[in-house]
Amino acid sequence: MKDRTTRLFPGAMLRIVTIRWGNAYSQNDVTRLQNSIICSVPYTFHCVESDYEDFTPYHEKHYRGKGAPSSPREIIHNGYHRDDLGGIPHHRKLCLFNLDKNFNEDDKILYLDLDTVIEGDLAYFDDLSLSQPYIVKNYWWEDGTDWKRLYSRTRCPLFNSSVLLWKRGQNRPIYNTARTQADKIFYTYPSVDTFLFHNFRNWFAHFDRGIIQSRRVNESKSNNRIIEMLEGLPSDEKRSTL
Amino acid sequence: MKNDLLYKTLRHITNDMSWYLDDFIAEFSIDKRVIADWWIKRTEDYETFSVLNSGLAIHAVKTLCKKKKWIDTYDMNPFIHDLAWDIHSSEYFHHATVNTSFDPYLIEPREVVVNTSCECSAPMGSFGEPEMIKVLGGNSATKIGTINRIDSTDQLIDQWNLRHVIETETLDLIDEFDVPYKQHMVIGK
Repeated sequence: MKDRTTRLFPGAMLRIVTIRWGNAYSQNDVTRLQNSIICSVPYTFHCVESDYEDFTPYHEKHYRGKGAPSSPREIIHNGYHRDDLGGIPHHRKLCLFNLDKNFNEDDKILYLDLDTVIEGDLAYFDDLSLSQPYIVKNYWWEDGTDWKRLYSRTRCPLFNSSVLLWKRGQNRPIYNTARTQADKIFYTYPSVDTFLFHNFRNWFAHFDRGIIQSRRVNESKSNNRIIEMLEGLPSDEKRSTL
Repeated sequence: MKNDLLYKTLRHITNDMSWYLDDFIAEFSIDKRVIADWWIKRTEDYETFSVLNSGLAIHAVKTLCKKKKWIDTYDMNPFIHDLAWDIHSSEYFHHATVNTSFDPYLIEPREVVVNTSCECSAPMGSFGEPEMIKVLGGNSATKIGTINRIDSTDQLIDQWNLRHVIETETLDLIDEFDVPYKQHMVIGK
């Protein structure tokens, strides 16, 4: 994550970060996200496109699906359910918890998936105290009890890492855990979200309900919404929005 | 009430645990009982047991506690913790919420360690002391939650680095949905 802006702004700063790999998203998507930022406090924008292969060998070793992990549409792959393919395809996000060492002490890092839609002032995130790091909670799942049934399965739907907020170094223990137990973690989990939920359940705080919503869930738009996530939607549906 | 366990479990499910219904049906299914009977019969000489990925371990806890044998059960799901303690009210029973794959150091050392759902967790490697008896079981049924398809007893022996195999058997069973499957079982050290 090399960017001269870290030197240009030596004080504590909101760092808005995204990550891009593979072919699913292009530079245009990065530019779209950057240009859509609404933020009334100083910030810098960074797209991580290298130095994020720390866990790639474990992904390649343990992914049990057929074909590219980005779009496993079939339910059963090699005798495994789609939710049990292991290999954490979005493992590069975990590297952000280490790459933040390139930022300054007390910087706040706001991570956004490339398929997020910014609708409000991101200064909201700079105002949060960060005694704990933040992750999106899928409140819509918690309304029911089915997530409890799914708890023991390898895909539990209560955490969503499409938007993350932390202070420099605050999530380093997660990165370190992933490094030291990489084989078991990548064998077990198909998603960063379940890995975090099962192993760091009390680590995170959650944004207030309505601040971040998912289009997939089809909730009515909240009054306080700042970000809409398009996660989980088919790519053509995302394209029509982005 | 003749079947107190069934009554207590049903009471929880009908009150506030409707999400547990699928697992409840599996817990009381005949194949789970056959598996539990298989290893309990073969470990009669031992007094203390740890059961991993236990769920409620209905049959095992009931049978072993009746024989005044100590049984620890471990399951990663925090939402069955209270249910387990409520339905198995025995002085010979202990339950803890532990993800045994990631925190094996939290498993109390007992004479026998049992994991008959190895298909649901990563291989444990050289877990436990060499003299500890290991009862292992697993299958390759295509079900959600299976991350480690077990196709043979040799696979279990290999995954747990067993050096001394006492007994192996492949059981032909039928699950709670009437689907036949092969359950591979191994006892060894």
